[in-house]
Amino acid sequence: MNKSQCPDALTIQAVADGEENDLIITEHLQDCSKCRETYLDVQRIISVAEGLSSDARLPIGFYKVLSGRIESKPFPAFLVAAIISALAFISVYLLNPTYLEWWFSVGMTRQFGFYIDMFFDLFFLSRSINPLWVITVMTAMVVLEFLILSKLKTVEG
Amino acid sequence: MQKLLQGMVETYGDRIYRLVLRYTGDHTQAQDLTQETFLRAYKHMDSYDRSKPAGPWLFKIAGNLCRNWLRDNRELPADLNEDLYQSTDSGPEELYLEKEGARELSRVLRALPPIYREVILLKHVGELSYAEICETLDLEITLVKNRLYRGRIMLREALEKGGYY
Ligand SMILES: [Zn+2]
Repeated sequence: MNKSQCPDALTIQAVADGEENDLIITEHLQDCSKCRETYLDVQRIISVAEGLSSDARLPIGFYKVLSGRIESKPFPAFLVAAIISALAFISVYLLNPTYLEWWFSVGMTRQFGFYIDMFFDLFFLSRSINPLWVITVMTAMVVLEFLILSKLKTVEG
Repeated sequence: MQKLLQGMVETYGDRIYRLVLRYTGDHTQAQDLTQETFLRAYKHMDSYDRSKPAGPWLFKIAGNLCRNWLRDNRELPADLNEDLYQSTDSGPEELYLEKEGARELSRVLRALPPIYREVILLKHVGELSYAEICETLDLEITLVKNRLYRGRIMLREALEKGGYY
């Protein structure tokens, strides 16, 4: 490009943005009134658009909170699954101890398969959902089960 | 790895926060989205090319989160918190006019097509260079220059229409 040639608007914009500092172009902008006008136009809208920014800053301690979240290790999924399975076992035992005796002696294979399935379902569920939620919901269900069954017992006498 | 993340927060944290704030218009939500940006960065640190500056990579993550946020919240906030506007030493009357102008600028920005809006925001709020915007949006440099130019013209025309330019 030679000094007498007018640059296009995008090049003039690049000069105004500080992205282009070719001496031939900057000298041309000084000599050519038409291009200088375009340059000043672009500069004006740039200064207006600069008003889109703000002086907002992240709160002090932002990084501390962030690193806290990084360091907090998620509750191990297998532990959640184990706790829930144990809760299920206990609730069944407490409600009807003879039931466990029965399936240990008779329905071992099928029941055992069911518990293994349940363990892995819970394991994968705990990996995708906050494990504490899973535990809370399961505990609530066990408590509800107790309440309903104790109520039934009272009704049955 | 945490040292690297800390450096990223120090260098880009405020700029990302300001950009996100433009989308949400709410400080608490902007802080949450900024946290999420850095959490994702930490989680996917393997995909970050350490020979390059982290800016475009982080802005890309933040941009995706903002787009998701917009999708869930339909549109940019109608107005922004008062304290989002740049503070100046002007008198009450000038301050009023400045705030009016800033509000109009926000309104006009909201009305821009997203492809122009995001380039303008990355340039003026994210303070990114052309090359960094290219990398953030995976665009050719000519396209970035074009969108920036056309976006600015649209901004000017809309402000002129409202008598704010
Ligand atoms: Zn010229």
